[in-house]
Amino acid sequence: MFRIVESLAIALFVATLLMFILVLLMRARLLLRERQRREFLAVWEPILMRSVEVAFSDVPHLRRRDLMNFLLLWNHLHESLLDEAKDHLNQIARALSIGDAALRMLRRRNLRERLLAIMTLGQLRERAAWDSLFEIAENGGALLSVAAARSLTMIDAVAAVPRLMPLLVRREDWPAARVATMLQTAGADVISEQIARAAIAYAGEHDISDSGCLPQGQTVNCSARLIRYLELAYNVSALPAARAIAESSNDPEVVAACLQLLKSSEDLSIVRHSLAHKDWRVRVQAASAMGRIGEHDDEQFLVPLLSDEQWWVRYRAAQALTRLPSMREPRLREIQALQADPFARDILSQAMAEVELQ
Amino acid sequence: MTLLFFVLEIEYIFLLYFLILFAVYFGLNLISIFTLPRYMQLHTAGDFPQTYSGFDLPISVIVPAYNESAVIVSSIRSLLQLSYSEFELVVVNDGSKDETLEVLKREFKLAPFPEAYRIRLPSKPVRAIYLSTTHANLRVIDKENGGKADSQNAGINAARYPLFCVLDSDSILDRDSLRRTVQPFLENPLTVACGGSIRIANGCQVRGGFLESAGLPTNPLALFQVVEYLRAFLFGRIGWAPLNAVTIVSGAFGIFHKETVVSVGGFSTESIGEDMELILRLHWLLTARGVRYRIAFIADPVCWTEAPEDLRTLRNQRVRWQHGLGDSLWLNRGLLFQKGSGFVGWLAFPFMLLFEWIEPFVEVAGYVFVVVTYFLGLLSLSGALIFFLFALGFGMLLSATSLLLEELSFHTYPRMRHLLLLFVAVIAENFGYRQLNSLWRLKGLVEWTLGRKAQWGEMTRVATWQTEAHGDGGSAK
Repeated sequence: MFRIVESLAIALFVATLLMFILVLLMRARLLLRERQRREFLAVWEPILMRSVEVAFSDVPHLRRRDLMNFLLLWNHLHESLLDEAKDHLNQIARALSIGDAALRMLRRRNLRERLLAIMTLGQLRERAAWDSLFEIAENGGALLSVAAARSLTMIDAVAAVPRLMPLLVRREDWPAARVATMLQTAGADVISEQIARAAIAYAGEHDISDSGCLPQGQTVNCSARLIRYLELAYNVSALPAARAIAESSNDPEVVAACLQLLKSSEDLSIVRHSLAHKDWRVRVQAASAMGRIGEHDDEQFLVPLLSDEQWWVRYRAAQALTRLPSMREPRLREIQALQADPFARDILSQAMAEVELQ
Repeated sequence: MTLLFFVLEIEYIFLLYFLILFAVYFGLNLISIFTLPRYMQLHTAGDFPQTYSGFDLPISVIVPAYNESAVIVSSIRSLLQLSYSEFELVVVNDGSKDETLEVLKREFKLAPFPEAYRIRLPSKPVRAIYLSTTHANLRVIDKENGGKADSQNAGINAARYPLFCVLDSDSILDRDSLRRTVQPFLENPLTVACGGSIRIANGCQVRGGFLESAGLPTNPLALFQVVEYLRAFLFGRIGWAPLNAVTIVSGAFGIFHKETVVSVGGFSTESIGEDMELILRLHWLLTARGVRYRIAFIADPVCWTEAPEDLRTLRNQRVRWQHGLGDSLWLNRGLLFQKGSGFVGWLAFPFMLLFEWIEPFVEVAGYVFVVVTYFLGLLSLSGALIFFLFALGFGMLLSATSLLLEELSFHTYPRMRHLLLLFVAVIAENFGYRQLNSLWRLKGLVEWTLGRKAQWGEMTRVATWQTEAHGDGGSAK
């Protein structure tokens, strides 16, 4: 018994000692890298910063050990700058054959290196990376694949967007915020028609009620998600698509997503119709839309919603009432006084107070 | 002979207990060692300038305040500077007896606001709601005193966004704490709660309510707590996270999905450990309802909190924590071996029961046993020393591993001197501090078992690390 405990105690102390040594060695390596980074920055930061204003023809040799530091700094600047300055940065990178290095890094196991390589190849608009990036976009993990998709749109948005559309639906693990950044990178010129067409086609063929679009337990409504991206498209493409889907879909989440986009008086009939929808998610978006496009006569449709069972519907209806054309405080007070439901009176008080504080 | 046999049997039981404990910790360490570098590599992109796409999830930040007149203004001013696309601050004045509300009214030009307040979660009556006329995203709920959980529930009732963040009014954040902690919600829509690493603020430089530079405290008690926090967060939580078995998201800073929390009844006012209790209840009830969910944890140090520097405050805190642990486990005992609960019901919950709830009893009993058997002549001096060294080595190795994990990830404490000081703390905490902790926790265990109520007690704050910044900085409480 004592032998076992004694051996274990010794093993624990030895392991602790080894751990201390390992931590010290790691810290020593970190400090060395920090020093190298400072040396790198002393040389390269001024060069890259100056390149923002003037093109550089003569760049110093980049040491192999500085490659990662260079890519971090270079990508950092790229993400902060406007287009013409980016061209100068790319000239420097091409002079240093950064594209070739990034292509090699794509095959590494280290995720950080691969991510930096993906970003770099996109910023460089490196056509040679097209197939590799597309393969990552299709099959890579969430963060790598969405970064690869963005790089593809940087290289050639017109060619990339149609190929990425099916992934936009299929890759439910892609964070919406990152997809939005990717679509913004591609630009509304390129994405508008594509997303509108995909949204209509997808909503038609894969209506949630009959398609099994959502695997068991999945919480993301892919059709509704696609419609949300219409926000980033030009109105001329987005609005007809949203109208068409709102009129034909039976899925409340999809209809609610469409209503968020409607912003023209042409849409009033759809919105008015949706105010009485049985699903509160639709009613709340319809009430919000009324706040944007409602007309004087819509008071009659909004007042009943002040007594809706859902707080958010009451709130949006009250806000919409305050925003109706020619609506004035005395009329709001009249409406309030006519309400028997205390919830309706309270929510109208809140909406009026918000207007007053604004 | 029989007594000797009995002593030997007891020794084997202690040994077995520690070996199982070691095996689980070793497993958690292994998970952390493999997941942490991957996390660090993948989140490189987070260090680049961020563009807000309009698709980010807006967050309601709920700040309970009770008698915080000295610090509340600086806390709110720093929170208003958080770097995030869309958020609101909901400050809940929990019936403060000092001038907290008056100070808020004066500094943020609060106006009474006739909000149609929804009571979705029960709380003490709300007396009034105010809206800032200088900051459109700041509201103050004035309510009768009901405690932190009660205030958080009132804050959830008033929250307008789909996610809410809870924090202590004296929590020190990074500017991008919200952005980092919300990532799991963006990356996985099944996420219902997410916490981040909490670190000790003592010894750090804080300006304008934000951390300026990390450092270590000179006070030994605070220094030992730095090691404790590293241990608790770097393998205690990161290890459980990939198994969806995180059992606590600290009340000092965490983000939650509002509708899910409302659906399970919000924060419990019955438990003094309301943060752990809510997480266990989420696991229990969501599993029972067959809902797929994820409770995430990010390793990033997103919040810094002041550690007690005197024995009395520290003792109160540890006794209270043990009460909270007891409450949380008891109130959610249905999670134990619950069908479909996975690692949390079948491993994490039993682990907490056996190795966190009972552990102070076993540790203290172990020390007593060794001393008694030595004086009874049933154990030799060398035998007693070997047992003591075993316990020491075990504690040191666990703490040393957390230093390794820290070195693999964030290098929060930048200087070599910091590292050496932490080494000293890793060794020194085993001589007295750890035993004292076990005694306090044992006290909490006994009190809870006897049904005595725990008290929040007064936190003696020193906050010598705070630096004023152009009149906006935090100040000592």
